Amino acid sequence: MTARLHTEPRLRDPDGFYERLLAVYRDLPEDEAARLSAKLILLLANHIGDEAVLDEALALAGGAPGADAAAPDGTAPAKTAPAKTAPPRTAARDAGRE
Amino acid sequence: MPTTYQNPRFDYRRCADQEPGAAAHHPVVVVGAGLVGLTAAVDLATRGVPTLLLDDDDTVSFGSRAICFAKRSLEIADRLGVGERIREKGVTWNRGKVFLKDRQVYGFDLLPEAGHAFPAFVNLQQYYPEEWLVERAAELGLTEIRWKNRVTSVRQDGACVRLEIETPDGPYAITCDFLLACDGARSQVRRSLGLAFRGQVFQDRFLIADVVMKADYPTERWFWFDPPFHPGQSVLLHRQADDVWRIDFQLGWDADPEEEKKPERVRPRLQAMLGERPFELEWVSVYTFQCRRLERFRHGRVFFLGDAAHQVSPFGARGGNGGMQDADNLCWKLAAVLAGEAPEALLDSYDAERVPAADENILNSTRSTDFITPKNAASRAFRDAVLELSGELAFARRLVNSGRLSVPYANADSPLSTPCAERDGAGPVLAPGAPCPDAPVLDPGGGEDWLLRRLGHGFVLLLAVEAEQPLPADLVALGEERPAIRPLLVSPRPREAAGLPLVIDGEGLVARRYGLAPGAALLVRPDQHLAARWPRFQAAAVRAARDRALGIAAPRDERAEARQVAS
Repeated sequence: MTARLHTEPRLRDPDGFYERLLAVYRDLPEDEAARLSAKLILLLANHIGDEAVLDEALALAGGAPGADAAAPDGTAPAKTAPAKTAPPRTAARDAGRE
Repeated sequence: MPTTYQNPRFDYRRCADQEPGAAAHHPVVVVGAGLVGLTAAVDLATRGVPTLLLDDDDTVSFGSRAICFAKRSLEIADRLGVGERIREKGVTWNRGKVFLKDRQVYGFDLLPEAGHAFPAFVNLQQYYPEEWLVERAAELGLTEIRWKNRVTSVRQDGACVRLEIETPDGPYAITCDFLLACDGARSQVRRSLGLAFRGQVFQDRFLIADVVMKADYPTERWFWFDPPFHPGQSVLLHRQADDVWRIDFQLGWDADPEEEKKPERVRPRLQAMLGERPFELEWVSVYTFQCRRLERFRHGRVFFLGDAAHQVSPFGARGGNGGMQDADNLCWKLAAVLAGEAPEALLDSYDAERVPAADENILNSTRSTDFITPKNAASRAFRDAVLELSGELAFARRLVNSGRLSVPYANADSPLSTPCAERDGAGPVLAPGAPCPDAPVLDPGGGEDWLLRRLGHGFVLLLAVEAEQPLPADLVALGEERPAIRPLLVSPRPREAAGLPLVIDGEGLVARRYGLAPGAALLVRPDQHLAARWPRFQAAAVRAARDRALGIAAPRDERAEARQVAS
């Protein structure tokens, strides 16, 4: 099994990167910080481009058993949300459709 | 309230089935004369199958409801004889724009290529096609519509289905061989059979305001995230016929649906958006929605179609369009079974083909809804991040999801398809199961036509022929047996055709869209989906593929294969 997500140390200056990472969040209110994190993740995800690597990262970050749980082809198991069984509701007869 | 459309009223008439002791039996009963039920009844009528169509009301849709007819639906409607009317009356559009606050972040063109009879979308209030389908059913003369006939109970055993029906004259009962439940999201047939939906309720409310106004906006789908005139929520604008505009305001879950429907609440929202422009309110509705489906759409002799079978969010126009495709898929199969040309097992393929199609529609509309109405702080942060990046960065524009608009299901794993032994030509190959794309063709005399119109309602063998190539001898026999496989020759130039139907692929678009090399043969199903394809015509293979598409097992071949494996 080849883990495609690099988890070995790769940053030349870890302390310097960490300092710069925190610096962009300094003094940000919570919602803006969350948006900044989201932008950062999206930018890096697109840069990586390899969805198998991204799936591994999602599994690892999301607390799944991590790289060990990755499938033999190197892809992490897909996390599927269980379908919720909803109580019957009044579905508007006149509900508009696009 | 509507001012541009007057709902027709269809009279309730007492019928012989209501006489005491009548015990009437019908081969096919359709419940619900809405868009899907009418499509099914007319489709069956075009195939010579009479139906009884029951509806609890005495008119077509009240309010515009489904307004976006996708290309595939238009092609189905065209096969049924109402496609041109929808196109002429409706508003054609191919383009859309997405705005964040007051600036455009994304634009798209859904049909960037020419050479199709129908555009990507035509917007039209649902009551028009319904009214025309009622007329079309009357023309074909095989549909008996009983208005003000409300189905109250459905029971079935292996032999038949029994319906209890309530009318202004009191109740009566009938039986039928097959029942098509097209009675919408609150399907009484479904309740009566005690079948449960599985899926997800979205906790959000939306306000539909149809307004009549003269406006010079381009005929495009416009979607706003967080616009200045409705901060923090989304708004969708569509143009319809008769200068009616659909405006869809996201309200949030806490909104009071009764309050929000009041004109004194709706008008200020519209004025904030439209400024000084005068408008009239045509129709207002507040809705929430689910993305869910029945586990199976066939239950013995009862079939569920459209909203009775599955529901999606409105984003992507996958409700009405999905329902029309259900009817398109089921009706030819039912007609073949009733004609004794296919075993009843063919009807199981309705589930095999339309359940995955519903899942695709549910998946797409759920994803759109998750983008449009974020569920928590994190999903809102990602949504806003995508929108903010999308102004500058192309990759983020592709993540913007204001609705992935309806495209027909490709049916890649259909049990009715014959797998391709090999790729039979250059270019992208249209895989078995897929709906047939349209293309312009010429009659040998030079008259312009469309390929889909030439395919018609039955099995068709498309054969790509060169100008000089001799024709296979056994083509004529295929057209004369039962079920017939009508040959249709496709040639780049006029040629001798031995009396067989021939179209000229003058622009080469049939060859390109179907991946046709000279000599290739394609079997098209009666619903204009591809059943099989071969690099060379071979009558035995074509017959086997037709039988497979009809759900007829091929025991000899399988036994032969088994022997080979065993030996």
